[in-house]
Amino acid sequence: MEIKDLDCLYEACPIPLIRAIQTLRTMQSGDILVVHSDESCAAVMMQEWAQQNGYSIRVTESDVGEWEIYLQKP
Amino acid sequence: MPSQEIDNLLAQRQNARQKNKKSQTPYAVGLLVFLVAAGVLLWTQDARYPVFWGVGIALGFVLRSSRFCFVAAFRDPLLLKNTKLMRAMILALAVSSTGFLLVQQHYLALHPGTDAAQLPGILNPVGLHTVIGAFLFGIGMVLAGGCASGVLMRIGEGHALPWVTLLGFLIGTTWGAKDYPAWYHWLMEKAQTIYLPNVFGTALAFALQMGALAVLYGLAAWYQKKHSNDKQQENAHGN
Amino acid sequence: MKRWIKKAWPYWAGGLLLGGLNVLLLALSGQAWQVSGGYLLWGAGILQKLGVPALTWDYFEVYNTRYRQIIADDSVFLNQYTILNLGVVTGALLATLASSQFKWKKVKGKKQVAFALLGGILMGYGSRLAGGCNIGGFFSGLASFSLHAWVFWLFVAAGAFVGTRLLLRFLAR
Repeated sequence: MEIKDLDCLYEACPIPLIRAIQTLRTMQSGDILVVHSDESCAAVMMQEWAQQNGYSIRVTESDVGEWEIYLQKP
Repeated sequence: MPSQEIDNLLAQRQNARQKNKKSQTPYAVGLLVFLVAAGVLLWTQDARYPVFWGVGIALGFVLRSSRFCFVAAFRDPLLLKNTKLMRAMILALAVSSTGFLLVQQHYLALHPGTDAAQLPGILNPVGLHTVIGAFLFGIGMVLAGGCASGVLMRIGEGHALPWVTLLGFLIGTTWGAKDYPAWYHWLMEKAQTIYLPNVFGTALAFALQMGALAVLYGLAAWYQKKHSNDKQQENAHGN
Repeated sequence: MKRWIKKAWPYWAGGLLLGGLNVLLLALSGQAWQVSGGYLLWGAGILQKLGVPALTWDYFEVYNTRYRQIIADDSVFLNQYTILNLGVVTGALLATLASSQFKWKKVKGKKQVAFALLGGILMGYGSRLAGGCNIGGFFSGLASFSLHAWVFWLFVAAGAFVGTRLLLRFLAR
């Protein structure tokens, strides 16, 4: 089970989500991707996307105005 | 969908991290005091100003709190096959259409015979200029990652990039104003403002607009469902 | 599953509230929510200060007399449109601080800036042609039962389609 971190800090919506999806495509089932973003909408959008596509997701605020979004490929 | 591995990793990282995130609520309170004071000051300038101030603040608060983004409403159906924001926007349109019509009807009752373009609300002439303008706007807002209101919201969140978008907006809008006479003579001279209740009668216009919104809502919901790999939903429906 | 997204309200709630607030604004002030009109005045006002007589352009003198009073009163920078816009900024700021999520987010790279600038210019120019932006021209326009807003909806969606294609091609790695 691989764990990959994706630094999307300072990137504008929707880049974090696009990059996350692209990165997930290269990963194996069971791998976890941790996206770092400071876009408030990114967390919600990824939540929506994860639910719609059957991914497990957890979001946490890692710092003031920064989020870590954990996605696991099904 | 729960995942033990994610929970473990998250717990691991959180323990390793220093948990001293500063609370900013004191600043929020301070700001609120300032906003109220500013409102009072504005009231001394013009009695209408506090309305714009108060509603503006409420709008900004709601936009940010619900992460409401008009760009995403248009972009996410294309990019992610997700229409949740679009549907929320349709709800907003349904509510405001109803309210606006009531305000307009009330105004007409007090000022019968008012020309459509002078009614409360925003009524512009429609024509090819609308087509071109909206099209350009659509491209621009997706490239910029924010629309006219999104820029304001993101500036309020502390982002630097929307200032650039704002600068671009100022340039574009003044440029457009400068070029306006040419566009007017080419496309807008004969354009009419079309107020739907004048065309269909008030009741029918209302029914048609709400009906159209309902249809669009349904289509949006269907579209997302169709492109949804939602295991939760499948399980919920008794598989 | 929705832990840790501090206070993000559901979209539908936001939608209902935004719709309701717009009605409130219209009922109390006679004016609907709009954004780009304020931007136009700022832009023209800045140009005026820089020596370009933007406020005397035909746009303001002949075609769009709704700003005449503001120009005559010399309140290009302090008027109801500005107040509305600043209100939105501070409202968002208030919400961000209240949830302790305010962060100075700097710019990352020239590409970002280029797209933001270009996008802004397109929006600005388009909003003059269409007579408003996504808020004034579309959101408030549709609620006002003006046909132009339905046309706006259709073609802003078309533009968004093109924009998304461009975005994927040039911005996402």
